Amino acid sequence: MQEHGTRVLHLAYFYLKDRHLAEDVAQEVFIKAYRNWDSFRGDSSVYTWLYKITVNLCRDKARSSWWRRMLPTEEPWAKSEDPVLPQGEGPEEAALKSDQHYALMQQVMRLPEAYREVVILFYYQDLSTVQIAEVLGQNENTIKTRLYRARAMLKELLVKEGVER
Amino acid sequence: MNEPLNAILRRRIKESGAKELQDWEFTSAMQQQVLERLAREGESGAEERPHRAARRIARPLVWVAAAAAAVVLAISGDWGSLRNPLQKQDAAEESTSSAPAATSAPLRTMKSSAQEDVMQSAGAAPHDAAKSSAPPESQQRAEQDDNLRVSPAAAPAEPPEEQKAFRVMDTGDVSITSVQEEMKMKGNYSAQSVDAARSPCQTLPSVFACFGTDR
Repeated sequence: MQEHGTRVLHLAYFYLKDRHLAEDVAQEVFIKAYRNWDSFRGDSSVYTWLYKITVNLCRDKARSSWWRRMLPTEEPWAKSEDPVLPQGEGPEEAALKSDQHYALMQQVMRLPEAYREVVILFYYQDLSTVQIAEVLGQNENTIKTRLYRARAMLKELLVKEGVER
Repeated sequence: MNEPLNAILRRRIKESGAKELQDWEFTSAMQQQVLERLAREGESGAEERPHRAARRIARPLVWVAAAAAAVVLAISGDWGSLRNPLQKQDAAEESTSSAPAATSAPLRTMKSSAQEDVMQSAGAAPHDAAKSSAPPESQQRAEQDDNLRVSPAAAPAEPPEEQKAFRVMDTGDVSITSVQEEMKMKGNYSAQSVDAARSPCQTLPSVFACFGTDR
């Protein structure tokens, strides 16, 4: 639980954009996993199975009207007033880098859910396209297409910033 | 071209995510909460499971029994007699006029329950106590009785058994019986018409009247 808990927690946060809700979901994930342990066939790894439960729970919560009211409307990656300066960087460099990070993450969080989940699972959770297809219950080609489109959307932002030419 | 973009995206998303979510982990407190919830649900689940299983088995049986009862009732076609047991009572009255006290028992029961309701609402004692003490109100009721009772002169000549029945039965019954007799004479007697004649006695003023004229 300790091993996979944090990853499940962070994945739930990227869906729900709220820490408290993500904590509730993470707890529910482990309760559900414990209850349905017999149904785990061992075809996939445990964390893929846990991610699958997490994604399904987050989707259910996001769909229910009560939870939709609870979900935050503001962006979680809104630019903070006082960014933490990494060591060895000047204030200007750090501010520029921080701005760029926030801009990219904001863009990721603004993506439609179908693209956002693929981006998070691929880039943040380091899952392969095969594993993502398994977690989301989709064809691998569908995942590749979504990833390609999401990348194209994010590339626009990077080009604007002058990072990618 | 894609590879550097992938690398850039991965690095920046990871850095940004780590920065935002740093020091936010699945703590041992959360783990403890999960274990507590599992323990709680395990206890309650073990208690509820037999009940749930019993309910799951019993629910279709209840529906089947209800449906079967409805079908039996529909086939037997005895809805009318179930709905109005007084019709049967009237038929019995006709056939066994020699035992009027016994046959008028259900109607009397209805009336006496109505009386009790009225008396309870008025804060009075039950009619037995009222009868034993014989207050002035009971005298007034007796007068009302006399007013409402069909006078022997006005009543048609009856065989002795019928008159006996008049005395035993309440005045409410007497009036109904007289209507019944009139209808018999006119030839349009039926159980429904007797009910129609009886129905005014169910309204509130006539319940008071019935109460006032009881014995």
